[in-house]
Amino acid sequence: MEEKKITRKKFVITSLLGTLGLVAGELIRQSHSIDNIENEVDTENKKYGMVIDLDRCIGCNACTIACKQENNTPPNIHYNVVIEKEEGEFPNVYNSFLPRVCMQCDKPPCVKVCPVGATKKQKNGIVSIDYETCIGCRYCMTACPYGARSFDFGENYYDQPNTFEASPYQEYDKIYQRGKGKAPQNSVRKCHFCSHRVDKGELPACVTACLGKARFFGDLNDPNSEVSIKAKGSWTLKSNLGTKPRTFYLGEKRDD
Amino acid sequence: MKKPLDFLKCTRRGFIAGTATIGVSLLNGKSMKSVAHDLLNFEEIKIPTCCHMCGGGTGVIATVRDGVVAKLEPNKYNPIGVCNTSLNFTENQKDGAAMCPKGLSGIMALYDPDRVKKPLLRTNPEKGINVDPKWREITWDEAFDIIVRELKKLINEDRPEALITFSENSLATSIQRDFGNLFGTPNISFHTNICSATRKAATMAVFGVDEPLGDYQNSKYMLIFGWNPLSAVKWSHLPQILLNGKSNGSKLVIIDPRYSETAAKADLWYPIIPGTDGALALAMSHVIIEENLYNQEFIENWTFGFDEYKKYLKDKTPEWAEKICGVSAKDIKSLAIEFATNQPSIADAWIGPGQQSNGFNSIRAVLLLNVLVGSVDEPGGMMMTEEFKLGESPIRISPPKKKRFDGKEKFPFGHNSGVYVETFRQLFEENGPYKLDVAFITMSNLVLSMPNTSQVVEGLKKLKFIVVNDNYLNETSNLADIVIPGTTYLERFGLVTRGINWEYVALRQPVIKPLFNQYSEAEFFIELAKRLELKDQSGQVAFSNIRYEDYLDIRLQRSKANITLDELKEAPGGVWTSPESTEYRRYEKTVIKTETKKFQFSLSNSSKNISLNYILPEYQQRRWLPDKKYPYYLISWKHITHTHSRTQNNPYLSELKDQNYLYINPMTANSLGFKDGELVGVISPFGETKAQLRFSPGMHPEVLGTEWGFGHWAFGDYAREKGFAVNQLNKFLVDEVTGQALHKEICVNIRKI
Repeated sequence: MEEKKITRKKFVITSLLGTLGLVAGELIRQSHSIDNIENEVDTENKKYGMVIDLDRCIGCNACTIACKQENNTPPNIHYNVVIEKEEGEFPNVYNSFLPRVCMQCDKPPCVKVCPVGATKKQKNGIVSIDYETCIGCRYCMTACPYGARSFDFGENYYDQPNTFEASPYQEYDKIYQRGKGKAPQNSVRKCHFCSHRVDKGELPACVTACLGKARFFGDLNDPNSEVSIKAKGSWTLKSNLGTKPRTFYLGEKRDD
Repeated sequence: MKKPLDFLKCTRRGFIAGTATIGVSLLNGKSMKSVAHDLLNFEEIKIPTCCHMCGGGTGVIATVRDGVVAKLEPNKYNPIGVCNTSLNFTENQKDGAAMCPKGLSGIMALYDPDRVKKPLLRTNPEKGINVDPKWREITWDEAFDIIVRELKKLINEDRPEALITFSENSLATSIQRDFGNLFGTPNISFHTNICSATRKAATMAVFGVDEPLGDYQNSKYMLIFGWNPLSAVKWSHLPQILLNGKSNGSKLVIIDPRYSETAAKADLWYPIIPGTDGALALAMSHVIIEENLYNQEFIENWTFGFDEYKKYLKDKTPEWAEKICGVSAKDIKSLAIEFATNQPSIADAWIGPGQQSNGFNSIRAVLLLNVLVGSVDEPGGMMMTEEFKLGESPIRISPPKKKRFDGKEKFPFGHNSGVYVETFRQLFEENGPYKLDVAFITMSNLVLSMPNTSQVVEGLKKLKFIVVNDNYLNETSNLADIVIPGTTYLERFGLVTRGINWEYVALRQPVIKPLFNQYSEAEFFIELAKRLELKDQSGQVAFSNIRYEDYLDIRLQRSKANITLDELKEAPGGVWTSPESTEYRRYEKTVIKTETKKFQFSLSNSSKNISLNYILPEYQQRRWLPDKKYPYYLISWKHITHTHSRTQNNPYLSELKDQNYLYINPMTANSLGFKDGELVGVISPFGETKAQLRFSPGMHPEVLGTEWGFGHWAFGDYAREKGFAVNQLNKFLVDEVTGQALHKEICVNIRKI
């Protein structure tokens, strides 16, 4: 086929959250410089990371829904989104899918701005949010250049939450149940690599369900782990910001 | 109710650490009961089953916490989520299995508050597209009494054939056949003829099997016409095996009027004029023969009609095809050479060409590419799959002698699912062979899924009594007299046997009791048969001592698997797979099931009454072509986020995709002065609707396209008034060979509103 002529760009973003998040991220990129964060990862322990092979991503959003189900997230909160982009001019068209999770940055801008220390870089590399401590100020949402964070306004899919929405579920090392005003409502929420599953030796829900088997997860401290091997030759989103993401991408590099 | 399986024995009390508050309450004895008991002290079991959010039947492990379905995850013991040949099973299984977003949204379908919970009786005798039926809740006994009364009228008048059934596939299918036989009606019909009957007919004509499947993972060249397996993911292993094929060095080539999700991953995409796939495949065959790249030995030993075909192809040059299909002669030639010289290769076609009036011949021409190069039943080729067969039904009764209402026997390759289009045409025109009075419609929204919405509605209104069995009220149930609450797949039994290249049977089982104590769809027919006291051929009341579980148990024991239902429940992942691995070159050991016992280029020896232009897979123009007044082709497709017209009320899926758009090439739109996002009128000779335009450079400039399943006006809140229904624009167009509904044969114009 001829070389692709790119005349216009079109972003089809799979959720409102994705739209807002990315817009916020663009703004931050221009206005916010990243300083070093004290919370360096303890390299003696496990340090989790994820590799997403874009050549195997088919944009199906199985990851998005596996995550919703696992973390019982309410409407408009998606820890994982897939950004779809179609560009070019007929017949030289190009379509790409970019799944976006939390990058679990080694130098996370979100941690620094949290006034109450609710969001932390854990030793295992995961950036966590303590819902009981979070005061819902949402500074972290504007600090995140990836639009990975969103606020739980306490909405449910139904006026009267359905049986599943109202049932107990786990995030981090705690059990939650959606009820009026209770955490994680009124907290900021985001992907945590399904840390409650990882603690039990399971893979994040998105990795388990992935239709294209595009996702790899594991210990980046182990040079022989699949994820370490796959991470070679990978790239990260907005690497110029110095956030040092622990989510890596394989495949043709996209504009970020 | 359920026992956890050995391999998944993870029932446990005391669900790990809680919050500090809960920690304290643990020490507080009694107060813990009210506050923390539910959170900390619950039983968690994992139950294997099979999805039915679409017909693919993916393996699922459901987690149930204290009676609430809390999680659905892929079941790696079930090959459907892993691969389609046993060769790759162990290796692929290391990566686990897979589930699509629809399957993963199953819990929200189960707990959807819009579900029908009790039988409903219509109190408004007036019926119409927007008429409120004024439902009244009734008891199950009342519902059965009314239905039995209506059916007994037919028995007393000795015209049981006045009963017709319509149903989704893989859902109480054989029970409905048994019921039809017991009751005396031949009019038992299913979904397939509005889906993929053309491909089944074409594969029967060429190979003698009805669903051959490509061994993509081991292929060297994948050439796909009008199929989008990376979004219309029928079986959840498809993305893996295609992408693994690519990683192994195979080329992926997509022929489609639009740049599909699969085209996005392809090495080459050729946008084609709709309905011209056959011309392209014929010209490729011409080149393969001219260049002497065909497999002479295979053709001599295993095929019928090659000389006839060769003669027909003489003038089907790439230059001839270029003018028809829009792909250049040069590209056609190179495609043909690449296809033939990169072995093993696969050429496949599904409902893109299949839902157009020349689909039978188009798909045959594509499939014959495999035959020409001998890539049949070879690793990496087109596999001659035969679905695992359950043993005989315990219900002994012969089929009724009466002819079907839909005239299926007039279609030489008619599918045993019937001919919905003819049924509704005759109902509407009142010119059927006899009168139909009663319809059972199970999990099928015919008003949305049949071409020609307005006449389908009028056709349904001519029936005296309609029973709809569904999870939801929708456009079709609005025309019913009684609505029976259905089950989701998480509440019912079933067996899945389709979709891979070696024999297996997987269990679908209730992971919780039906939420509203309702009968499953199969149990509903069993109960009805009992209440009608329908007798089998020995004069005994059928089903008097057979529950649905027993029925499945008997058929499993009588099958090659020779196991009981309980043994299947105990098997890892609830799956039995044949110890015999995927078999290649079966044609060398068993008889090919075509009429000539060879793979057939030609039907010249067929005993079927077929017209001359179907002897060879001749190219003929499709019947409905664009003209001055309606200058654009309108195609439609399935998107990964939804199944047919039944998942649009799922809030998770609705967030991913809540409406369809009318996709248009920006060049076309600009030349007409339309803007991206503009609401336009879409008109055909048979209807008009409104649609939101979306610019897509991947659309062929002469083609408009959209996703189907949207445009509901009587479904739940998440689904209603979003997008448009493409079937409002077409007519009763049926394929004359197979009886397939021709959803993709529409021409339209758009206008400013």
